[in-house]
Amino acid sequence: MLIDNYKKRKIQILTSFLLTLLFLGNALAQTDVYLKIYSKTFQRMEIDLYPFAGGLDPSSEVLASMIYEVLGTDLWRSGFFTVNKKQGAPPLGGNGNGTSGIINSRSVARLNGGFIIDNNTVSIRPNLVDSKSGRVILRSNYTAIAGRERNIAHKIADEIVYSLTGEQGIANSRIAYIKAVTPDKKEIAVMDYDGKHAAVATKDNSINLSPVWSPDGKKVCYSSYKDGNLNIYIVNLATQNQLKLAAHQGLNSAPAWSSDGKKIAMTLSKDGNAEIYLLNYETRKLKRLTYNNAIDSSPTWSPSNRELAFTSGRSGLPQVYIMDTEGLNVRRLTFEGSYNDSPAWSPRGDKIAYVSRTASGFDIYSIDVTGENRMRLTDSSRSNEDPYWSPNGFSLVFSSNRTGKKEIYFMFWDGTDQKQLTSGGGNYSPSWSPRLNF
Amino acid sequence: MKNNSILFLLLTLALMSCGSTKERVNYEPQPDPFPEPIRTTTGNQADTNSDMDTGVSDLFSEDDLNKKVPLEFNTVYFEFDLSALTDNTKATLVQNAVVMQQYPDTYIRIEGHCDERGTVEYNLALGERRAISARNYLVNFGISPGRITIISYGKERPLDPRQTEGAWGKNRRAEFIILN
Repeated sequence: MLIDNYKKRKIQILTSFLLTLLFLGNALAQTDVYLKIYSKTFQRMEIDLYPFAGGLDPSSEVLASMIYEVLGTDLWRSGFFTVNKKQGAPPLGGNGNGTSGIINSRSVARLNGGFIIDNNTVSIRPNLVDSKSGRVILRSNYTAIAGRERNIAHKIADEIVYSLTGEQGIANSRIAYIKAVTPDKKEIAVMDYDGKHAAVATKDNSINLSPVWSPDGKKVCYSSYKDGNLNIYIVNLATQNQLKLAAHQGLNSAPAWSSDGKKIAMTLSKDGNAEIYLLNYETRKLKRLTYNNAIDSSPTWSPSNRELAFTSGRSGLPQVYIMDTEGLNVRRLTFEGSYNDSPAWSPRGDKIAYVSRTASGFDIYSIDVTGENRMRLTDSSRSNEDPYWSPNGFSLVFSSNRTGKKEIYFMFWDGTDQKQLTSGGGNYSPSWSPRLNF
Repeated sequence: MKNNSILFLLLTLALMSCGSTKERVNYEPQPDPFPEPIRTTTGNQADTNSDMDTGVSDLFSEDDLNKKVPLEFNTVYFEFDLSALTDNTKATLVQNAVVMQQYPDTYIRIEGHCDERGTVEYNLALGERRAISARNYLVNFGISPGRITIISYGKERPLDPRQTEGAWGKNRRAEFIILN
């Protein structure tokens, strides 16, 4: 029922969106406006989660509780679901055969399953059943070598999200960030989207900055002082192979990879001042986009790769602007607040998150690309910085020193459910990977 | 050190006394927002201001300049989000210029730094502007731009990691590193 309502609402929104497009014509079509799911009336679907059944030995119990915890967290963090964590087996023959009566009229689906540990492999079998009809929505076998169980659980969560919403999940994604091992040794580190499996990915013994993922999720592009000057490098995470991408005189900083993989926007000061350039990844040809005496920096791509948001000091203090990939049609996006920086364009297209200086520190805001609906997402007396969107645009990661140490946090698009992902301090500049296939 | 402070006093006085004259204009990079050289879009910005090579000799007597100063440079400081030079910063830069004149074989790197507020990327650009401001001031005094390289560390290398106004003030700086 709720699925139906949800789909109906989606269609309604889509229809009104298309009508709006028709009326506004080309002007709106050229900006990135997508379907709005950030609506106040949006309600999470309820899903009943039951423990997965396996053996009774200790390792089976560990696996069962891992699956339960990961699926619960993943479904919640997808932004679509409220998870009713149930105990025991689902009632009325819902376990396995898919035929059952109505258990919870509010939940759209019921999830249980089983697993088998066999030497070096683990097989997990989710069983997702429509609460109302009892119809099986998802029943599959996922096998992984030992040690990859958690990734398989993430994969199952994403499959569930996809089968119930048609949207791709985010549980199989990772976050690259800066880990300050010592004050003068800042390496690129990578962790799962939930903060697990964190590991340092470079051994540059230098100050590395501003990591961003390649669109294929295999490489990270970043700035480093390892050769003396601040240059831009690409590291292949699997092979550790490195490539020096930009090493002009002065700054080579703030890389941003277009989602089609073809271009990397960056800030260079080779012509005497920090300006934004586009580097064609194939031909290595550079195109300068900004010509302004002030600082221009921190480019971020629109999902269509037709526009870039960036920071500029051209009005005196930093503000967020938007321009097209010819450097034309420049417009100022932020007007409230005297210091707005660090824009991040949502992969859905309609919102840009940024950092604004407040009386007490720095906080993360979001604003529609139209300049409307400015929203404050964080509210703490210290610095909340470096916003970066999840691949589905429903949530963000950011860094904050609210505990006295710099750590990376998760939150939803409206600022709710802020959760610390890292520990130990010196963790910042997060970049969320695209969806990955493990 | 004693010599140094006498010199500092002298130079400060000299700088202040010439403040009311038109000549002062010759020795100052243009005020914020940012000196002219940066607007050039071709090549390196260091090759400018050839018309400003009158040097310190017009400002100070031969005696002042001949007083041997030690080969050491003083760090200069900046205001929040600005690369403009304050009077204190200019006075210190004059001292550093004299050192450069007395040790003509010395090559230096000016490192621009920022406090921790604001983003990594914006502060990298701001730190570079601070280093360029300091370099241009020396170049205006007649120091060869070929003897000065610059680099920005943004907010990555604070002198004082604390989150206080005092710490931030110390971190917004340009340091002079002797390269040879």
